[in-house]
Amino acid sequence: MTQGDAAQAQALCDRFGAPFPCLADPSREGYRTYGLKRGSVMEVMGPAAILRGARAASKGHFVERVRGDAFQMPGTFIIDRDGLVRYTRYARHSADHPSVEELIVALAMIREGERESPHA
Amino acid sequence: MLKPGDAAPDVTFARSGGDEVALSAFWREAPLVVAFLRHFG
Repeated sequence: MTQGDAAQAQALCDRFGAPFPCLADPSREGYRTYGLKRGSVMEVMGPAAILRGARAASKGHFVERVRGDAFQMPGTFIIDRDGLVRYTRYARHSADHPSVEELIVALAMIREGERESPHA
Repeated sequence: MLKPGDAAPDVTFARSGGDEVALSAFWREAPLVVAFLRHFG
């Protein structure tokens, strides 16, 4: 989910070869509906975000120009097949994203729950 | 803020090609990971 328009979202998908859909929310209504707020200067550009950014840069990943609201905070959610939220991660700073491993564990737990109670 | 166990808001978003899609179209098929990003890269 991105703040830009649909074409920008698709360009992002194409650039990284994403095997999943990239969607657009230029009005950020979805961001607000999911409770994602605008951050403070410290949350967006504070030491924690800078340190995480430096680590990413050391691996060749760089932040490009922000399009949309530069103070919009990110977040990650997992929703099960019944439409229930099963995982939430409201970022504590702008570079606070869950690891892939954390998401895989959360998804495995959902799958385990589905095995115990097969989805109708 | 949402918490585990809450009903996920079924918001509609734009995708390339001009159409719109509701999140429920995805989560009905499989558990859905939705990452709201700040910027492009």
